Amino acid sequence: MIYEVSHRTQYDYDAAVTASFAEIHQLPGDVDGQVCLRRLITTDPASEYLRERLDYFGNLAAVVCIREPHTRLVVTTTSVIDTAGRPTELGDHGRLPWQTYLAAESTDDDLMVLEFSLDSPVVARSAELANLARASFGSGTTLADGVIGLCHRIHTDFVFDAEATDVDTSLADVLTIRKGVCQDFAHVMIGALRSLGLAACYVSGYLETEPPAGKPRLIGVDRSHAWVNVHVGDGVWIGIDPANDQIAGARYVSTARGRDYRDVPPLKGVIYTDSEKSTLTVNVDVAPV
Amino acid sequence: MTVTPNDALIHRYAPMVDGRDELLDADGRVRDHWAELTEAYESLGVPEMARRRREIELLLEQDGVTYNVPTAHGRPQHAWTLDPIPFVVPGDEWTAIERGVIQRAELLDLVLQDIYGERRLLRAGVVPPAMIFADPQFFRACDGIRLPGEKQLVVYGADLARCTDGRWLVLGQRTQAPSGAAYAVENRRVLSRVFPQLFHTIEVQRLAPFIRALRSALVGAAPLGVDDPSIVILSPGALSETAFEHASLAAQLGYPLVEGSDLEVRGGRVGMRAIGGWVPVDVILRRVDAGFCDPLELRPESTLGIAGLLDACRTGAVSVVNTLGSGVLENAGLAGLMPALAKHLLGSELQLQPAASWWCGDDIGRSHVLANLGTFTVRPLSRWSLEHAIDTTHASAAELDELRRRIDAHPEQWVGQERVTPASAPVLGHEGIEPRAAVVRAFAVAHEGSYLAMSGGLARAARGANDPIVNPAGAISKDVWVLSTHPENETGFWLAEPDEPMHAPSGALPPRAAEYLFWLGRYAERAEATVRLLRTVSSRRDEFQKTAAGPGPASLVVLLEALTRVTGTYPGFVGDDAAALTHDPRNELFSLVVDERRPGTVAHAVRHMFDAINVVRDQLSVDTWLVVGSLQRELEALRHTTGDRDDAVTNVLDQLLHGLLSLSGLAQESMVRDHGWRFMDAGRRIERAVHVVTLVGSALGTERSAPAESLVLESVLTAAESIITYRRRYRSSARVSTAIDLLFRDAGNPRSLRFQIDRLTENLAVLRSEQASDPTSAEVPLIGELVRLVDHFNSERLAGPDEHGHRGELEWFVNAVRNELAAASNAISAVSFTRLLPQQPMVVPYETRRMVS
Repeated sequence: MIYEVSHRTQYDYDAAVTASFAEIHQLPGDVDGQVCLRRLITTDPASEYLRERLDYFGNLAAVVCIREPHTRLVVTTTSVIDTAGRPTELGDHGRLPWQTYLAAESTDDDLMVLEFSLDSPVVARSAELANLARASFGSGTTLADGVIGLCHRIHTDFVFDAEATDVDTSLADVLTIRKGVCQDFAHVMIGALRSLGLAACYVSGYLETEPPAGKPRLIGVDRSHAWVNVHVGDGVWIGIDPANDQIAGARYVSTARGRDYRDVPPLKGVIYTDSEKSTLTVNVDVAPV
Repeated sequence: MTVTPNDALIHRYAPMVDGRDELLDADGRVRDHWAELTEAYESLGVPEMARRRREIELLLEQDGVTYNVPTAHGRPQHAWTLDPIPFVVPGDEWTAIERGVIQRAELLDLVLQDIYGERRLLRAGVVPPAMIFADPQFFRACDGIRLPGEKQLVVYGADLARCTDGRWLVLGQRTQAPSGAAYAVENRRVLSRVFPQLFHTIEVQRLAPFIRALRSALVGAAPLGVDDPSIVILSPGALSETAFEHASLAAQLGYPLVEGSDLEVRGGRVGMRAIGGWVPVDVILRRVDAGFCDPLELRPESTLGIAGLLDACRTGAVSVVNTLGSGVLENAGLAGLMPALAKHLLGSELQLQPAASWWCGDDIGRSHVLANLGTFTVRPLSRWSLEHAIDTTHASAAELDELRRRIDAHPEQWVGQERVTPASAPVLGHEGIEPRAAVVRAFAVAHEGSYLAMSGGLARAARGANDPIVNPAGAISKDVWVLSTHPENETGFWLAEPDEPMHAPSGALPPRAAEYLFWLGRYAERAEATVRLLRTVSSRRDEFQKTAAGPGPASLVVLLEALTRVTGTYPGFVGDDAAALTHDPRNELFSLVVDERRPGTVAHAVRHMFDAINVVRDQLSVDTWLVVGSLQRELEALRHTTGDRDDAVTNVLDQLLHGLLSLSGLAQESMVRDHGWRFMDAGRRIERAVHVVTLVGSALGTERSAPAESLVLESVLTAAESIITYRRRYRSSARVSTAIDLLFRDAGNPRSLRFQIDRLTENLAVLRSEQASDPTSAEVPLIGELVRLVDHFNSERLAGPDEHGHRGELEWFVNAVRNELAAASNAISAVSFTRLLPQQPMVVPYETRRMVS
């Protein structure tokens, strides 16, 4: 599939902002089997400074500075991505008992395998998370079966609730209330896998949504999304989405991976202003081309 | 040569039982390299040594040497403590230490390059990856940042202790922003002044080459193609623990001291928002911890940093020294790996061994540490974590269990270290020389392809015989004397190497500094004017306090009312209690001198002067501290006075005036007329103008009986320091109109309104002419209306009362001038001191989509 993704973030302030600095993680790279055909960042007001780079995790990141005084800031990224090469199933990967894939014993040259098995700012390994995982990972379970089982279990045991959590909710609280949004689902699964010693990272990106039967596709009502990449050996990472209980296949677009959400929010920044109130409006559109 | 320690000064000196001592050998004989010094101390004797210690304290206080300690109520300043007795190291022994310190710096430089580069050491397992990944000082955002120079680690500090067998061990390393070098220089400066004769007879190696090397290292770190870099020192501010050191380094190196809010990234370049425009910055010597340096990519709540700094580092637009991320080398786990790293990276043996330590992140290390709980010191992996090092020898069984549990929960976060008992060194106690455990911080700086070590350092000794050596506030600092085998002759910091280009220090003034200098000028003048007025009042009281009625007491009432109005200390002598207060003004007058929390008092102004001086100390003559310190001492003594308060107040007012005059003398005679001075002088002029018009307006606003008015007039002229001129000029009689002439109009009277406005005009004109056009800051104001007012008044009319005896024109004029002065003051603040608007993090989008399928 080829998608055109447009991601528009708008801030409205009640007083002038003299300078805005932002770091953006919304640009899809040639990762996870996808190919990015083109991409563009625009801002309104126009930016004084804009620079793209590859960050520590191999993501495309951009730093942008707007120095024209403004009460509204709009940051828009648009990109065209061919997702046909994204894996849609585990295939031959992960067919050995899961203990074969422990990150600490990995001979992989990719240090990320080890790094993504350790604690991170939001996700700390724990006995509770290990227990959650063990329900799906018996001693003879293959990694593939365990991952799919765990994904299904989280999808079943946790309730999707946009009101239950926010950006500061801890993983421990999510485990208690058993509710949350896609980030929380991803964090739970990452934590469970890491608590077994497996490597898993957080992926942010987009997912094409289908309109309800008989309704036209609405533009701009999509959201960015988050799921999990699991290391299945030999430097191969497969995306799996506990919020939707499926492999993150050709309808997904990856923009960034990190240890958890904190490493790769779609947009973060600082502003210089006397403003006391701001309104954030986000419009995402994932359109098949 | 040996000296037996049976003399007065050291005969009680008994080294600690279970250790090694620097002064005495195992047989109790004075070591050779101490012989000359002990003889000198013997001949001085205990009382003289104690006297010299007081001299040291005084000199340190005069230089404003402090170490701030965080407390629940902010950070009070602690005086820096320096032992009169140095830590002495023979030259050949130091040469070995130096080589070891330099080898470690070389080694850590390679490790740093690798950690933020290819990470081969991690891949090869020479450094366990999890040890680095678990370190909060490993900043992933700093990956790939490289300084143009050969060395990535520019400044290095190592804490050394001599252990029982005489070997030197490394207890800890400083790689983020090693502090102490400027304190070491200050210690040396003070000791060489207090013991000049010792420096004649004993050849001590100099510290200046280190500071010079630091300067060339900073120049060498400049972005490629920049030959004459603009360099600044980034400080977290005057409240930081080592604020003295930051300002002292700035002064020694000749670079501006800035805070994060003074800097700004524009178009990918870092620059200083200076008075006179935006000045690009090429090199930043940072004293701010990396995590706080860029709110965009690191800690979003930090206001100590510069948004966009990291990206400017990545592109090489600016060089930050030490590099952002270098704090990872302070990882406690790395310490134990240093011997293996030396073999792996340098192919040689490590010369300075670490204290034996084990990282709990691997099974062998963890079980060894757990088995030795009760003897080891257990440290968090990073000293930047919230945990503290725990000396397990003093822990209870329950505490050990708790620690064991925490280690098991996050073993990678802990390191166990064998306890080291540092050798004791002699310090001056109350009755002689006493042994105290001591450690030495050594410094190295990148230099000519390798490193140069400071020939000396900063030693810290425990306060009490059984005390641990903690932060500098809880320890006694010592100068480190490295003995030389040949005469030392280089002394000045400015003695340049032949090939070292010399740079004029940048004149750029950060807006924050301008603001504080402006207020320093205002508060210094306010203190002086208030003291003068209080003295005048006090002498009138002496004169008339026995008199019940008549012009004398009437004039005193007028003066007391004026005092309240001029100082703004309402209700005071004009409120409901005025009658009672006037009857016995002693408490109120005392309060007007000493009450620091009450705006308008002398102590309040002195306190604000002191705060301002703390911020801009790099701009001021070091003698400033001599004066301000004594002002505070006088006030403090007065607060606790037990004798006659009136006498004490009178005395202290004289002392204060003396000190304040010295301060204005320093401002006139010891400061270059740069932007900073213009701002300070503008502050002084505005304050003096406000004072003189308010004084005249409030004391002479109403016509009194001729005898009373002439007494008031005399006092006003005295308080305005113009009485002598007035008497000489208008011998015949005292008239309000001629007083107004002298105090308002006379351009030649340095106390007159006219004079202040002329100086203010001149200062603002200079600042305007040099202010670069910068869209983010408004212009230096014009004060045309003020000039017009002062040009066009008529003294006779101002002095003329209406039928009720009220001088309405005078009141109108005083109010008009005061309003214009307030507007000018605000405009100067608004203009030149444009600060960034408050920094806030952007609201982060938290997405909530689940597929509807």
